[in-house]
Amino acid sequence: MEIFSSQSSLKIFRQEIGRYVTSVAVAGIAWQITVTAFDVPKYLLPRPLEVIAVLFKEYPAFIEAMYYTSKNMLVGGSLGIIAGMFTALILASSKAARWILEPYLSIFQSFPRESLLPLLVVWIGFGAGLKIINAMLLAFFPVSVISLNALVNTRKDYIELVKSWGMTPQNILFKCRLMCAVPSIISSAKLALPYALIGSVLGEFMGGNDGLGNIIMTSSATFRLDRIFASILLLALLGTLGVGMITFFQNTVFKRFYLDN
Amino acid sequence: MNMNRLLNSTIVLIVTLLGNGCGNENNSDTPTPNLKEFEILLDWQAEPTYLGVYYAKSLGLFSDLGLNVSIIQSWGANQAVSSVATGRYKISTASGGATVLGHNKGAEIVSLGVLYPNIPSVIYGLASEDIETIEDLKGKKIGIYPNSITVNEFDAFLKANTLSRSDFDVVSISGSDVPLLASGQVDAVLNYWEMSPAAIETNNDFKLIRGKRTFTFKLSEHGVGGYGLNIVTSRDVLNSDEGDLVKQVAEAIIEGYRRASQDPQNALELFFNEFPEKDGDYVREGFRRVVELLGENFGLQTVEGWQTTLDIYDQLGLLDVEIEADSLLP
Repeated sequence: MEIFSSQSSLKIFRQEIGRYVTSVAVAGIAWQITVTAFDVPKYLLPRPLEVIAVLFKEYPAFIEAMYYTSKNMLVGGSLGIIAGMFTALILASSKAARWILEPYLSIFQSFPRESLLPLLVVWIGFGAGLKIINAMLLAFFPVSVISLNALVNTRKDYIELVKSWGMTPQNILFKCRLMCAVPSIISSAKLALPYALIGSVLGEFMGGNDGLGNIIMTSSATFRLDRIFASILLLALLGTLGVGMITFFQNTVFKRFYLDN
Repeated sequence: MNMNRLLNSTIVLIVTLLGNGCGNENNSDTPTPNLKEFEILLDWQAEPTYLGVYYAKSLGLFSDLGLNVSIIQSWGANQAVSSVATGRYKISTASGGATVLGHNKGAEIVSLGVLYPNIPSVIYGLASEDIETIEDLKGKKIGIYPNSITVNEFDAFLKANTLSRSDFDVVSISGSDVPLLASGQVDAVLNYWEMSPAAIETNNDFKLIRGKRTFTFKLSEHGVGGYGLNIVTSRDVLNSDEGDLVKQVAEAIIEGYRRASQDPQNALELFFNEFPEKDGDYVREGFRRVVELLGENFGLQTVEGWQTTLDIYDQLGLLDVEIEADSLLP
């Protein structure tokens, strides 16, 4: 199995940027032609050129909102990923802890964490804390569940082999189980960051005056679909950048660490 | 149980669930073969605001027109206006602001009658010794629903009273406002007079100060004119074969409100039969307020009234195009 790409990261990055820009441009042109040809009314769908125009016209507001949303996504997402990995390690290292705590993972995984938002608002208010906690909650569960699954399901022959070398349980966990689980953990982080973005934006929908989610909410009161689509475009960009960032991390820093160890 | 039986039971369950549908509609009547199916869209949930529509249905005013009406609940006037403009629904309720703004974006929406001649929006909060006038609200945290048409009315209120958002700590909120007020996350909220303020006023958990559980500043009494709740359709529907029928449905709705305000006891009783889970005290107080908001001449509308509504949005710089007031009338 190829965990890391053999091509240089910069080359992949350039190729991917080109692919995404082309893909979005094609969709944008098709969208512009369709809405113009069929004279789609503005209350249903804005013209892509209007969306681009509003992005340029109101760019300070969009940049500020994007910064706020991305900051909460990164802080909440990172906390969620770290907490998820840490929880998975604890549960993988102790059968007793797993016996007691694993049901909580299943229970919390089984209902939409967004339903906690109205309570969180009442408890902690409308500030950045609400968005960070929600982003963290949404990022935590995929990482903890997937990582735990990977940590406890290491191939038995590997475990037998390192046991025969006389490794302690602690060494088996960190040097065998964790190393084998790295691809799954990275995949879970790729899932977690877009979840963190969703958490951050849902928090903005619930309250406060900042972020791209807030622009979406305020724009719908005045039928400003151009601003809504501009925000959605930036959110898609943020999510893609987030996943790209982890892929970049995977193919550079982590690749070196993984191969060295 | 063998696998086939399990599979069959699962399929039956899924088909049953799908058959019951997922729409948030109130359609408890068995379809009558002689009646034509017809949907009326509400711009919000089944609250006392719409009691007249439900009463018209209970009294059989729609079936007299040969219609089996389903009342569809939704989550906002803007979506309701867009749904009518696309032709998905032929008739809906909507706020005056949403009607004007929809028109501004090319949705050829026409009002068939105005139910609230004034906007029902209020700034309100839990009764307090400190708050008697709007000046007392300066520096306080006011929660607004950012995707609601009331935000524009709030801006019009600020303009009319030479205030600005910076005079207050304005924060966007979502969900129920009552817990936010109760927990002190906000000091006041912008909402509709007959909804949450009525719910708090009838809730004994909140303390009385000067005989009230809430303080309330009606925007309509502080310089914000214009129409509130009205019944809308699209110009296309109006010009179609169904134009007359839609007009008759609007008249039936207005008649429902008229009869409900004349006999609120009976109207409330029938509403409770339909929605037994609703809090009785809240619905009674809410509808008492609805009757007050309706006034005496509800159902009527004038070019001048729509011009006032248009002027508000024009002054706020929200109109991209010039709209003739009479284009909003049938």
